[in-house]
Parts: sequence; structure tokens; C-alpha cells
Amino acid sequence: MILIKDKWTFKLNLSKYIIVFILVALMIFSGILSPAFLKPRNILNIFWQTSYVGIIAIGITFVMIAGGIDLSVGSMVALLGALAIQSVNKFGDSALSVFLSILLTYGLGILLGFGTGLLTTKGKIPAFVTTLGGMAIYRSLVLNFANGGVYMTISRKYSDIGMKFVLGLPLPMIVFIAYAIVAYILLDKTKFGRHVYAVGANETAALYSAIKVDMVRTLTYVVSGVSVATSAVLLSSMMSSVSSSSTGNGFELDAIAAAVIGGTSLSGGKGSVFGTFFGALILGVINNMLVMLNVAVYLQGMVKGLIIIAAVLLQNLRKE
Amino acid sequence: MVDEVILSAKDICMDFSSVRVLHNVDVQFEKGMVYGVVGENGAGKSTLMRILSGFLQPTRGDIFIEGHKVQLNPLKAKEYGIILIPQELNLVDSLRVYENVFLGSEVRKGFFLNRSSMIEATRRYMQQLSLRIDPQTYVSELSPAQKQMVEIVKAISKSVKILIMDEPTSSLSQEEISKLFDVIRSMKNSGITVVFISHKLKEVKVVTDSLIILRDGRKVHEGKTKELSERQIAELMIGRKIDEMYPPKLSPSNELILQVKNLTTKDGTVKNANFEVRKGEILGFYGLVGSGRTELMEAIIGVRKVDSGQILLNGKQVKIESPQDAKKLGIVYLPEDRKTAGIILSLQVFMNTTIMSLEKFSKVLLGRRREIETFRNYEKKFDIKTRTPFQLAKTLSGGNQQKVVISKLVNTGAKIFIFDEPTRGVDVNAKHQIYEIMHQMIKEYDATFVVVSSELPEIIGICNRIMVMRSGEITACISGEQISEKNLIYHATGLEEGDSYKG
Repeated sequence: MILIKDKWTFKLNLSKYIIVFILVALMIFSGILSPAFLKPRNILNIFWQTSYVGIIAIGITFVMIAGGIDLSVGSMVALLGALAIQSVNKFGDSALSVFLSILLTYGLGILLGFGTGLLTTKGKIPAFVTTLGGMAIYRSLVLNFANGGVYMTISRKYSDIGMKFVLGLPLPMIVFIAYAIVAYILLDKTKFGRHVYAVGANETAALYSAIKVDMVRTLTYVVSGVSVATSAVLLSSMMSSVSSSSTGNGFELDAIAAAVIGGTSLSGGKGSVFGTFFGALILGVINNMLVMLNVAVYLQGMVKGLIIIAAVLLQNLRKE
Repeated sequence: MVDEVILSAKDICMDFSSVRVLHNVDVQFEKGMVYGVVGENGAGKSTLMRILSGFLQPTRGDIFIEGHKVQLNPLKAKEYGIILIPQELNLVDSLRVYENVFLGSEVRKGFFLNRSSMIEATRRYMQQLSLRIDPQTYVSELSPAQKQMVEIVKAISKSVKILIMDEPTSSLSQEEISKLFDVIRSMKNSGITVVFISHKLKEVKVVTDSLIILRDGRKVHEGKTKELSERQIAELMIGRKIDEMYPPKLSPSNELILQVKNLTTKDGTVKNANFEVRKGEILGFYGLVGSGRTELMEAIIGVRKVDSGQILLNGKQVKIESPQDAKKLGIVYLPEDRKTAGIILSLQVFMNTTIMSLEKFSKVLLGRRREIETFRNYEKKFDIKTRTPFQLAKTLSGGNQQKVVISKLVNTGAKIFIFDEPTRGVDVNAKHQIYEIMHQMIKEYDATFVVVSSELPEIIGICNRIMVMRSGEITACISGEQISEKNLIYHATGLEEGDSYKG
């Protein structure tokens, strides 16, 4: 009896950590192809570059586990980043100004997430439609305000955030890791997190189990909004600018891809922060490898696409 | 006369996610006979039939058609003339009758559809079975019984040799059932073998020549229908004497715990319902499919909008607008469809037990160890068979899943339990245990039960009183000596027994 139990838990754990093995294998493979890959500086860079999409992917994991999808995150990064930069420019170069601007950015992120949530739950509009609409609306707004151009700031205090190093590690990377830990606890160790799984896995059963289904769904979009705000602040402060036309382009696909590679189900009920975290890193390693191996820029999208499809195919095969 | 076996199956086994639902079943069917396949819900009837018609591949075993071993898939089975009419009919509501009949085998004239010949052919089939359904009406406008007939016509148009009907009578009135039986007899006379799946013994006795009885995935009897009495069939189905199946009834207190007054739902599915439940009682609700039983329960727990009426708990009026409100008042609901509304299949079993009462395990963070302890408690108490608390709920058998759902409800600390078809898809042993659990809860926790059930023996065997519903209204409250199948059917259908079934 004990033997059977052990075998069972072992099997569960194995399928959970397989993604770490894949990442390690991928890194060894890359190291063989290009020795420069394994230099600490390069690894750090990968981590850094992955942070922005990674944080958003963690937010989207909540949305997807609850059975939704959020396509608006890329445009929202641009909109929130623009808000942050314009606020800093308005309030001046002081710590208080930076603090207020960040607060404002989070405020809008939460508001937009809440709005999306209400429209999908109370308005009964499919999440694909609301967030597709959001994607168009946010991008169009920021393009309109910036007249198609770029918002810049000369605030040192603000730009310092994005370029800061703590203990020799870039701040975005530290935030990414910390964010993942907090999100893991929220999803795995709290009542809200458990309800997210229940709602995504079986909405009717969740309803009959006295779970506030609409509220839980809505809150997942708020989590996504908070993640986007975090990413927007880190990205816009690092660049000291936001381009209304290009900032955040394609983030939604990368974030969804990271979640899917990490085992999050598009139909809800399944997924983990752990998986998404490593899914994002795998995507980052692949991006880096493609650059190092001089794969034509225009083909990089294709490679990414193939990898996403392969990841899902692999999961389906493993199920059988 | 040499009997002609046209379809047989040997040593059929079937596993679903490592749960064996059929054990070494042998069956054979002869030409022009009517077979009854009976067993309780979850006995494996539907699974066996889906295997015989190619929709499922057995884990083990062989199928023979006219003595030749075959590998079946739905298309091949159709070519051999084996057609299954599932419980959930396979008609396209938005198409006309003749379009449904010829769906997938449309008659064409050159490039275009030959409507008139299809309509004419459909009309001929209808006459053959002396039916009067206009081939040009839309299926959405037909009654459930007429839809059943269209399915039969569709089967005949495919030159059916064996027609398998899965619980064809579950949504039909008595009159419609006797019409269906006429059609079955005329098919038999033209040499078609009919396999009739049911758990309603009266119907089986009337219409079948031969019986196959399944229990918990095993064939327990095969033989001529006329050799067995209804009671013998029932006992073979449940595997024990009927008196042993249901624990002796307890007597409830006189204290009224729940009263429902003049309750009407917004969508009109329930009209002016009045009833009351006493503390410690098991109150039954019987009626045909669509009679409003489930809808009434949904209204009480706040998932169906109420137009007017009152609910009183311990004599005080309460407002219930959501399952959260109901839970706070100590009223919980076990939904009739376990898989879509009861259990969360992709969640670990212990999580299913605690999902409705997580506030007991957390201030901020969940105490997983305590959750597991709680599950272990119920595991022992309700005899839930699991390998580990971490296994996914979908790997449990129906009976164990249902016990997990019950543990979820009990753990909320509720006192009033509304059980909708509590033993559907559950094996006989687990059924018996669920009744025992109910009694245990009445004795230990002062629980009260409202039980909706379509199974007459069950509702008669466990309830103190039975409310009968028909088209949204409560038509009778039957108790004590008055409780009988005859009485229940009479009030549920409005017809005296024996009005139908006349051959």
C-alpha cells in the first residue's frame, strides 16, 4: 500500500518538474551550439529580458486557469507605461512624484482589469471578445494621445528604477522572481486560488459549491491588470520611454505561449505559476538562442510558433 | 426452427481511467427478438450498448456478426445494420424531419438534392409504422415521443437489423410509451431485432422476449422474460433482497424545519409549490422528467429566479438569492448530474471535499494538512475508496465520487440536504452505503433530507413522505400506507395504471 502511494506521488512530481528538465536541456544544448550562451552575463540578460513578459504571463495564468483569456495585455502595457511616464513628467523629478505615478498606473491597471472582468461575467461577453476589444481600444488611445510617437521622460529618479541592480542582479529579474513567489502563494495556498481552479475546471459545480463564480473570474482580470502595471512600470522606466506604436507589441502572444508551455490549459482548470515561470524562461532562452545562432529575424516568429504547437501536442500525447 | 444469432459478444471488458466498468460480459442476440437489457443506473448497460454499436472500443473481448469476428466503429456498425438510439437523441433540431432521416445519406439528382423523393420515402416509412408525422415539419416542433419515432424511422431507412434503444421511455408519457411498444412489435414482426434498455421493470416485462440483467458491470442473468417475476428481476438487479437494500425508516420529529409557500419561478417551470419538511425527515420528490422537481430545488437554493412565494426556516422567513445565501442558512444541494455540477473531475479528491468550506481551513493561507485530515475522516466514515487524497477525482468510480460530493456538503456544517438523484450512476453497494450515510447523518447531526429521485424502489424504500409533481405543480403528498408504485405513477402521470401497456 505504501509502495503504491509513493509511486503515485513520485509520478505527480515528475510531471511537474519535467519543465525544469526541458529548460536545463535546452540550456545545455544552446551552450554546445554557442559557448557564449552560458556566460553568466548572457544568462542574466535572458532572465532580465524575460521578466517583462514573464510577469504578465503570471497574471494571464490566473485568467486562463479560471477559463478566460486576456489579449489586451500588450496594448495595456503601452497605455499604462504612457500614463506612468506622462505622470512623472507632470509631477516633476521627485520620489513622491514617482511614487504617485506608479500608484496611478496600478490604479488604472486594476480598474481596466475590473472592467474587463465585469463585462465578461455580468455582460456575458466571451473573454476573447472583450479583451480583443480592449487590445484595439488601448492601443488606439495611446496612439492618439502620443500622436503615433514616443513618450519620453528625463526623470532620473524614474529611470533609475528600471536600471537598478540589487546584489548584482537587475531589479526586473528580482521583481519577476518575487512576483512569481507571491503569485504562487496566492494561487496555491489561498481560498481565492483554489476557487480560481474550481471555477475554471467546472463552473457549474463551483456555482453549486457556493463559490462566487463571477467575482472570482473578475478578480483574475484584476490580477492580470496588476501584472501588466508592474511590467509597464519596469519596462517604461528601463527605457525612459514608451513607443505608442511598438511597446508591448506581441506581449499577449508571448505571455499566453509561456503559460501554455508551462502546462496551463486553454480551456481552464489547469496550470501553475511554477510552470508559467519556467515556460517564460524557456521562451526567453529560445529567443536568445535564435539571435545568437543568427536565425533571420523574420523567421524567429515561426520558430516560436512551432514550439508552442509542439508544447501543446506533447502535453496531449502525455495525457494518453 | 434454428435460431439465427446475428450479433454476439464474448468476454467484453471495459475500463474507464483505470476503473473497470464491464467484467467479462457475454451476450448474443437472435433475429426478430426483443431483448431487455436491465440493471440499475451505472450497471454498465449504456457502456455495453455503445461497445456493440462501435462507439466505444472494449478494453478486451471480441464481437461477432453472423459468426464472423469484427472490429466495429460507428460507421462499420451502421453498415452491418446495428443502430443505437442514444438516450440523448441525435437529431438536428433546426432541420426538417426528412432532412434528419436522410442526414448523411441524402438522395441526389445530379448535383442537387432530390427533395421530393426523400419526402416521399420518409412518408412511406411513417406509414409502415402507422405514424402520422409530416416529413416537412421541423424537428424542433416535435414532442419527445415524436422525436423518438423519427429516430426509429431514421434507423429503418438505413435498413436496420438490430435496433438498440437506450432508455427510450424516460421522457415519454404512458400513452406515448404504448405507441412506442406497438412500433417495437411491428419491427419485431418484420424480423428486426430490438434491444431495449431500461430500468423500468413493468415496461420490460410487457415488451421483451428475453432478458439480460447486469449488475455492477457483470452479467448476472440471461433468460426468458416470462420466467421471472418483477420482484425477482428487481432482486437480481440489486443483488440482494429488496428489504435488505433500504435501512428501516426512521421516524422524524414533529418540528417543522423548512416550509415552502406558494413558490413560483420566473420561468414558470414551478407553479405555486407548497410543502414542508420536518426535522430528521427524508422527504421525497417524484415525477417524470420535466415535471419541475429539479427546478423547484434550484429555486430553493437560489440558482433559479423566484417570481413569488416564501421560504421559512425554523418558522422564520428567509431570503435566498444565491447558493452562498443557502449555505449560510445551512441548506446545501447535491445536483442530479454529478459530472457536470457535483464533482470537479480535474481537482484532487481532498480538494473536492473542502472546496465548499475553505473558510474553515484558512485565515489567510490554507492549512493543507488539516484539509487532508478532514478528508481522511470522511474517507473512513463514508468508506471512500482512494489510493491517496491527491489523486484526481476523475479516477474514482461513480459511487466514490458521489461520496466525495456528499462529504463536501456535510463539511459545510449544513443541516438541510437536498439530494437530487443521489444514487444515479452509482453501483449497488455504494447505493446501499449512501442510504446508510443519510441515516447516520440524521442520527448524529440532526440532518434533514429532501430527495429527488426517478427510481421508484428507491424513493419508496427510503422516504417518510413523497411529494409528486406533474408539469410544474405538486399534485400529491403521499405518506405511510399510501406509498406505492401505482399511486406514485398515477399522480405523476394523471393516468390510472393499466391505461397504457395494453398490447
